[in-house]
Amino acid sequence: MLKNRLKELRARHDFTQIELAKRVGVTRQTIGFIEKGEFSPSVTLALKLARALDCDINELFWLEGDEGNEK
Amino acid sequence: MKNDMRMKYPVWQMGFIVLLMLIVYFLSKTREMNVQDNNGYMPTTIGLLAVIIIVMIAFRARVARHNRLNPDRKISMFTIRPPEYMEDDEWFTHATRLATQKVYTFYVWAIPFFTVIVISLPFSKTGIIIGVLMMGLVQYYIFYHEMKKSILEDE
Repeated sequence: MLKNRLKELRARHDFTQIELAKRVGVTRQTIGFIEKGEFSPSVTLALKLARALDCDINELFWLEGDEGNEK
Repeated sequence: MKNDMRMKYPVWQMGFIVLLMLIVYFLSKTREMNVQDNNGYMPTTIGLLAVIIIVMIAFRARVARHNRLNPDRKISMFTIRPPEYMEDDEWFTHATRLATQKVYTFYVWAIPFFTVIVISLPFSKTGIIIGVLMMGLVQYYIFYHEMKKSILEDE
């Protein structure tokens, strides 16, 4: 199971879901479902999100049970 | 997204199937009526054709409106690929695949089950046609329900 802190990092950059979606070339719904944990993005999309949020991909996504990232 | 014709396309198809079921039923009945009453066939047929034409005009207008409002997501009534497929991005593609899987699962069971019923019971030709159309109706309902759950739930 893939976990993420997309919502937290998006808020840190003061992006709305629509703004972030436009930056990475997807729809708002995709961002919403990723944030809810109901959809795992492709590697390409994950990298685009990390770039848009100016963070490392491992800071944005991690596997459930990976305690280091959940802190 | 609520005004996206691609979401509503299966609903329109369900409407057309219901209309087709009525046509099949009334045509079979008027053929029976025709034996006793020569005037039974024409008014019913003309009435049904008029309804079809009106609905087709409304449908065509709705498609044209969608294409005008969504020039980057135009749909055509005359393509092999179903217009209700929504593949705007990863999530939409995923949602479409989930819905299509559900429809496939339905047909895996529905076709053999329907075949057994037709073989076992005295079905008329009309009954068989209506049965096939019923499967089409359920198919579109499943697809619409799944897509609605996947996409509109987030709005």
